[in-house]
Amino acid sequence: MMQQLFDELTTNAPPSTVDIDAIVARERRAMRRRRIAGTGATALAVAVLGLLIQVDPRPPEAPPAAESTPSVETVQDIASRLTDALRYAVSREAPTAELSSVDGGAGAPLEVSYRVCGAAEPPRTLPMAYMASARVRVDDRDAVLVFEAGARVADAFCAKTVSIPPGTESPGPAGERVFTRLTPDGSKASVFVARPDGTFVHLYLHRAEGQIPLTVAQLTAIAVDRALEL
Amino acid sequence: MRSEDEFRAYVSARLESLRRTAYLLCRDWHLADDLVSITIGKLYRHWTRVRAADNVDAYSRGVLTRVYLDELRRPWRREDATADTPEPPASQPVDGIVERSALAQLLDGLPPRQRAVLVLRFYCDLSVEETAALLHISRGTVKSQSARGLETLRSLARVEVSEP
Repeated sequence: MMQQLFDELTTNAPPSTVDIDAIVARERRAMRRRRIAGTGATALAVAVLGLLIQVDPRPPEAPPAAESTPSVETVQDIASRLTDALRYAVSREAPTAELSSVDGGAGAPLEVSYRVCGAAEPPRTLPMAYMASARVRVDDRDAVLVFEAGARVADAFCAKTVSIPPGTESPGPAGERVFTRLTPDGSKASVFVARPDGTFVHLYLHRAEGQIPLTVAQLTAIAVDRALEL
Repeated sequence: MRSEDEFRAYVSARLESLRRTAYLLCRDWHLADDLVSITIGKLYRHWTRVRAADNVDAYSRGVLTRVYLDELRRPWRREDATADTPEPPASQPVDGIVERSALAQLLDGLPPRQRAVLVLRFYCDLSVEETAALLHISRGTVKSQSARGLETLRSLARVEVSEP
């Protein structure tokens, strides 16, 4: 009964405007476009993966994700650039300072490493921060300098791994927020510079006993150096 | 391409049936042709999967129904809400036969999903299970929507419409 009623409703159907050939041709073109786009994306992904494997000595932690960080500069390039910039900034602020590798001699390269925010979602494959440990010697006093330069201190991805250390806040020359801290015995100092663009630099100088060989002002001048940014 | 020939043959054979189903769902022949065109495109894209289905016709109608329901969600397709209820048919049907125009008005008065349940169940002759699977709703919902739809038709038309 219902079927009959429904059939009656459709008896005066107008001529169809559905063009099967046109639909098939359109879908075929779309499929071709998708295939080309897919091939291109795959080739790009393979190229990026190859580049990452080449420059990253550690095993890959995740598949390559869309990332805006170093596309021209490789990870090692950045580590090398930051090392040179740190050497220059230290020698500028303390001409008599000697900067050396913690384990090596004066001429040995600094130990620059980098870390990835593993908790990020999606996981990051490019470094979020670069770290270096160096031994600083001025006259007869030496100390260990820990240097860290990172991207996006306020980035929610890395909120758990990057945090501003406690300290006295003051404005920097280019609108930075500078947080400084010196322990009462003068053996440890920390300078954290949070730049307006979200990047940061952290310097931490310490020695086992006695006063550190650089002042907080010198450390601040080093930390706000624009060459020390990612 | 053998499968494309197969696809063309299938779609050509089912075109009118799909158009009528689409028309019953949306109640507009122009929109029905649009819905069928979109459905054919989707069937072409997934033809390998479609042809492997147990019931290709049911699969195609399912795609069509989902296309229809999706289209309703598009802003330019949304029907404007109105405070007025549909006008009852002017003429009283005689001897249990509902006039075509009256039934059309009655169908228009049903909510889209309820209309889809009725069309799939009583025009496409799909089972409760098949209708439930196509619309991604439970069997109980299909049964209740069918009963409510029929009841609405009965009460609006004031005629006896018996379930097949």
